[in-house]
Amino acid sequence: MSRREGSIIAVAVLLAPLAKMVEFAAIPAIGGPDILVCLAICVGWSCDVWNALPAGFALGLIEDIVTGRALGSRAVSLALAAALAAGMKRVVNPDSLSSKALAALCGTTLADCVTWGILASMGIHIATTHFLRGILVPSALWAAALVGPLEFTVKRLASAVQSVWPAPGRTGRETAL
Amino acid sequence: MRRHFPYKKIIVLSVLVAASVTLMNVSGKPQDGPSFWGSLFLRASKPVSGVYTAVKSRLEVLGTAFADKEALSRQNKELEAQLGRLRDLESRLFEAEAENERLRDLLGIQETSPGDYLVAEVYGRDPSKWFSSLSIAAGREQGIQPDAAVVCQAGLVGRILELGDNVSTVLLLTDPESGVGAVAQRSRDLGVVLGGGGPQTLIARFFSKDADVQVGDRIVTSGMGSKFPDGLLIGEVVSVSVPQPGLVKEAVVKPSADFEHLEEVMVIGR
Repeated sequence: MSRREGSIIAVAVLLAPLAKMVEFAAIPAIGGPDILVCLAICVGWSCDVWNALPAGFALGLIEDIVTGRALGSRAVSLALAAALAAGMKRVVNPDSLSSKALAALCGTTLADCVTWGILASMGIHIATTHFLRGILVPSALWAAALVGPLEFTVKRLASAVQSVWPAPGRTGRETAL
Repeated sequence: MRRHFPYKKIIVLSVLVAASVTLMNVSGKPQDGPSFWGSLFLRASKPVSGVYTAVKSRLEVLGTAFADKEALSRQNKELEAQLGRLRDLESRLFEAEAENERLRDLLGIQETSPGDYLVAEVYGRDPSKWFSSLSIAAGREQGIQPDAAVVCQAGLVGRILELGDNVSTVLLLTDPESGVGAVAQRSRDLGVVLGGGGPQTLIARFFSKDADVQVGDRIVTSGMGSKFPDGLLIGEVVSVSVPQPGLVKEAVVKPSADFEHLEEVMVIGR
């Protein structure tokens, strides 16, 4: 894992509880954005598949811990969403905003379908119409709209974090001199 | 990295699969209260939620102040008239209550208490799209019991799911894990009301396909299962169907409580 990837993952993981707190206090659960899935896709877009998987898992785990129910369901889903975004980056134009939006749409759809399946396998049934209208479609659309600004924010914060430590192979004293 | 961990992919996958299986097993076990991290999140979120609510209400007040003055003065006159009528009604109600008490005394009927109610402020909603719950600012220290029924003026809201010292989580009727023993008020057909249908939709599943249920029927708690007292209003039937293989009758129920705009709730039987 490179310094850049590490700092992006660290920033996303630190932002996750804050994002959840904002969702908890101010954003309606139904019809509102799912900021953590957007963060997972941002991380996936900036890392390789094998680093995106555990990073997405960690973000999903934060959501699971906050919700306190069906632990692991979102962790698996967000791990897959991050991995899909990382995989998609290899086949589409990585600099295009529409490519990111497409990755966000596909990643959110995959994550939500996987969560739906896991919950159903645990005996927690959510009606298909509610899943499609109330969860999947709004989440996917919000993710497509938010992934660009969120990725910009995460990358900016990650560069700030990176600049705190010296470059690899150099001590802080050497850098100062 | 590759030199030190030649089997990185296998290790990453194995760790993730093992963690997922363990977590799902852990969450299957019943919990007494919110987890350490869950209650930490609830405590940390309370000030954020408070600040948001304060800012929102202040902005609303400011917005109202700048609204059309004419409309405000008209509204003021209407409210004054309404207040006059309410005062009149209050005085008549007081008289009726006193009369009722006198008549009860005369008949020797004992006052039957409907149970103790504790009013609690709602300060947050479930941050997940998948579940429906509320956080209320009351808990064990205020005398709330596990699984206590939670109601609002309109009817049943849900039950206590997790009980903290000063905060609790309420499982709403619309949650996919919610199930309430119910009865159709008109025909007395028994069934169960399930969540998972959306924010303002409940599914009533009656035990017989011949259940006499019609659009507009009121569904109330049956009192069976001991979690909810009987007779609490759940909602009104919107549509009726007999899903395949045709063993039960299902009805879509519009809940009487507006779960999206709950600000205070009452917890029964503290």
